[in-house]
Amino acid sequence: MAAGKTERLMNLLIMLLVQRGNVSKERIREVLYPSSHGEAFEKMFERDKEELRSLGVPIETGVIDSFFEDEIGYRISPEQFALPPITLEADELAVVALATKVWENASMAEATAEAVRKLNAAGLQTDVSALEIVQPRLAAEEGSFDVFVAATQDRQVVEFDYRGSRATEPSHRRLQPWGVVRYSGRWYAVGHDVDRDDTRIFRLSRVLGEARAVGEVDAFEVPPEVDVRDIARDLAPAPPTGKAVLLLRQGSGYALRRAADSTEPGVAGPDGSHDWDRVVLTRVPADLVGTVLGHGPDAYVEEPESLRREVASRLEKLVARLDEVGR
Amino acid sequence: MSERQHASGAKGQVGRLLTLVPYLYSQETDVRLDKAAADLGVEEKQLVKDLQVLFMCGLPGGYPDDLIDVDIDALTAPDGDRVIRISNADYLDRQLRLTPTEATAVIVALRALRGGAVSAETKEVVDRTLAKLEQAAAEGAAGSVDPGEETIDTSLVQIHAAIATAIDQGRQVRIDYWVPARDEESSRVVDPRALVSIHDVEYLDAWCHRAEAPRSFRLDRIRGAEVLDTPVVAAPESGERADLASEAGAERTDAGTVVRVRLAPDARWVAEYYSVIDPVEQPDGGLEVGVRVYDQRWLTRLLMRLAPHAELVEIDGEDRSAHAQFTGSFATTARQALGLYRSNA
Repeated sequence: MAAGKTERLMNLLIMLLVQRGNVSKERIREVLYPSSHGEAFEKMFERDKEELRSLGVPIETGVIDSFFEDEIGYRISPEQFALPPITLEADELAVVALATKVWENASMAEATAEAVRKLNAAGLQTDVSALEIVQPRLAAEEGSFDVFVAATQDRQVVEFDYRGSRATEPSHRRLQPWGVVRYSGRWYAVGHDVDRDDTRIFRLSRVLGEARAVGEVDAFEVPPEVDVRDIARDLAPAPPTGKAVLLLRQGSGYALRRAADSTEPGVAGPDGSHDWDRVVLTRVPADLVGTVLGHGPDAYVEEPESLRREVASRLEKLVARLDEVGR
Repeated sequence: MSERQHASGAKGQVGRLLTLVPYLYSQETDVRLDKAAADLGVEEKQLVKDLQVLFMCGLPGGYPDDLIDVDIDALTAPDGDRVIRISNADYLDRQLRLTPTEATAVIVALRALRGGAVSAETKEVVDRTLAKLEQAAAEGAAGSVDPGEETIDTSLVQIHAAIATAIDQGRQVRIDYWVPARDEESSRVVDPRALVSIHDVEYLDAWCHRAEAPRSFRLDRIRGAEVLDTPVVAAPESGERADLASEAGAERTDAGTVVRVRLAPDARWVAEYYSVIDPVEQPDGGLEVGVRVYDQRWLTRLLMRLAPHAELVEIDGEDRSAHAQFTGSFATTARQALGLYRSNA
């Protein structure tokens, strides 16, 4: 069982936290590793420090103020160790409680829960109903999501196979990830493509197989002027449309009318009759093409041209197939 | 579930102890084991094990007084009161800083919540919380993950609030309800009974005066809800509730018809979205599935929506005339739809 090791890690942490100055390696060895010496001790001590650091414990290294100038010592500064004091009001606690339900990605959900526990908000009775809020959900099913997020924080290069929207063959990529951004419902990794020597974005759902963080941590720096959100906005394909104008036959198309920003009733339609309403959508629902198609002859796309063409071309293909079958 | 909460490994245990001690110090009274376990998301058994290890830790003096004191008997003895009492651990009474991942996860979640805030007041609360957490997280840890700005339909909250009020006050509600299968919207007066959530979809369970029967309505299909002054009528005790999982509100008396549909690879998602019967893989990467259809208008919509990636294979096994009839009317619909674009090319 790991109890012995837990004890050692806890005691090391406590020792470095309560001492005023730096503690010498030799003193640490005497007190906590009395039966280890030489290389075996060095190895064990290194590993223990690493494990504490990976939990977020900031172990600082310094020179001990003594006659021996080159003697290295260690400490944990209580200021660096502890979460800055933070007091959350009742309504803020309610918001924090809601935050634990946002992530649908398991590791992000758990990290949020852990953060909330640290904020001492765990178990507090909160009245969420007072907040007027629609619970958003952040899904991140892409298998590589966690890898990119971790590599972004560790500043580690990620290697992966990627199939771009136009490419037929996957290509192998190496990226210094600067950030992970959601843009029009999709997650992208933004960063410096090492081989192309250029800023690139990658849609995570097009990463094939597993992405791997490789090489050293802190391998690169994010240029200070970088705003990953701006880059994603510039480089990601525009959302399906910023705005769509549709004609809906009167008495139909409720799914689309619900999302409409404005409606102009009684306009002339493509069939020459006047029983159509013109609706303008600026919040374009997911799969607008499918939704329009589903309404058959009751919905007609005026703008944008790309949407119009896609709907028309899918209808052409459908009718062509029906004609073939009927013959 | 993370390594942190469930690993028996030393690192996981240290992580849990570093959360546990400040938690215990922050409580105003001694906490019972079951409450602490629930609050911290750790099993009671594990929590006891963690405390037994904590009992062995302390200041580097090696004297009994240097160790953290935990009342183990209270937790393990048969007559113990199962209350956690610790002392001599004041130096661990503050929570560890958020790790970059924790800071990112919670801040990104809050930014996403901001998009869902309906009122300016709520938005202000979210902003206040965000500002505090961003400060606590230090060095803009969360700058690298961005949830984007998704506009969320907030009308649902208002409808939810109106219905909740009506239930509380025992008043009737007039709802405008949309039935997608028929693309029809109708207005009806209902006696609201409860709001129920099934698989993350919210329903209003009510007595519908139009149908004169219990019905359930998907909240996201209610377009408007008006709380009336009239009190609910004591509904006849039917004993049975509407089938919530069904297409809520649809008057469904028969078992429907199973049709076979061939889905091209681009339309495979249907199999995940609807419950399908006997899926059969196709050589082209597609899938042939059975779908239960209650209303042929719904089938027309589905096939149109997927055009040209879905194809009807058969309706109801032997009945060729039903098949021919549907195929004929479907072809007419498709041609009419295409006609709109051809006439105006």
